[in-house]
Amino acid sequence: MRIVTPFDPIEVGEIDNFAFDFTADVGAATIVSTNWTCVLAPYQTAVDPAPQSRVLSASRQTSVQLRSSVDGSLQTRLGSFSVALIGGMPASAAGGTYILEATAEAERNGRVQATRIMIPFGPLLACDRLVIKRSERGLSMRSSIELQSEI
Amino acid sequence: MADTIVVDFPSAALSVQVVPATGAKIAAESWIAPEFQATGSRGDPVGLEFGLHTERSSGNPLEAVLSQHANSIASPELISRTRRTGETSIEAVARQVGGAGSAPALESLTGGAGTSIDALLALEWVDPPAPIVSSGRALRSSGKIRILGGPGNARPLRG
Repeated sequence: MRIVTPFDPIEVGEIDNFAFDFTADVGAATIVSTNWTCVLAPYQTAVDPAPQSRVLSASRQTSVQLRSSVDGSLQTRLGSFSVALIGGMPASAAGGTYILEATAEAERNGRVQATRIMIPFGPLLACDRLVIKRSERGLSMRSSIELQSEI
Repeated sequence: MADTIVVDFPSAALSVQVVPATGAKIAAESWIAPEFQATGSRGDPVGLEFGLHTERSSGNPLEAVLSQHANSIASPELISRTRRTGETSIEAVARQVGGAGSAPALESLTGGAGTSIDALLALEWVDPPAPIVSSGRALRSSGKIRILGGPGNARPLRG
């Protein structure tokens, strides 16, 4: 599945929250753990020696406050979210593209599906994807989306 | 009929004549201890316990009562009862402060720490705020999940 809208670009040195809304996928289940990975997309000249270290923290949330890009107002949204604090991109990565993946493990009927999904990454051309594996015991999701850094 | 009990004190020997149903009568055959003088001087056959109860109901300040009983044989139970009626607890002070409508320096009782009696301290019970995410950095899944396969699927990565 493809997520059409990408993340807003992040600047060098900026730190901000990024969120995936898994509410429609989780349903009545509950996210019990989440994990984010960050890699630099291949086939580009940008350099980041430690892209995974750009994920400063990650947490599961049942609500987030969405800040409007128009007037800065806050709107509380309830659901199942995976939120990560991303930032600290070096100047050497300016103009590069990062791939963020968020994995959420959901619990259903008191049991946790712990199987992780291996996504075969090919050449990435602004590809946003969300792949979910469902089983009788639970579901596990992994979503990736491009993160464009700029000067 | 009265019985005579001899009590040995370190400094004197007392002879106490016990009268049933009326109390203890002190018959001093030698000089008596100070704690018995207050009772004996009244000339009444009252016991030590009665004398202590009389002083407790006199309405004296707690400090005065304790100083009067400093050399007497006051039981711990009596002291504890006296302390309860002394209104010296911090709750009593708080009630007095709240009822007076004024705010004396209650901080003097807390070592300088600020105190608030009637304020609502609800802040510590509030849940932590939800993280703030810019609308351009929050993406929502449409819920159109792609089932890759169950446990028995030979090709788990294929939908």
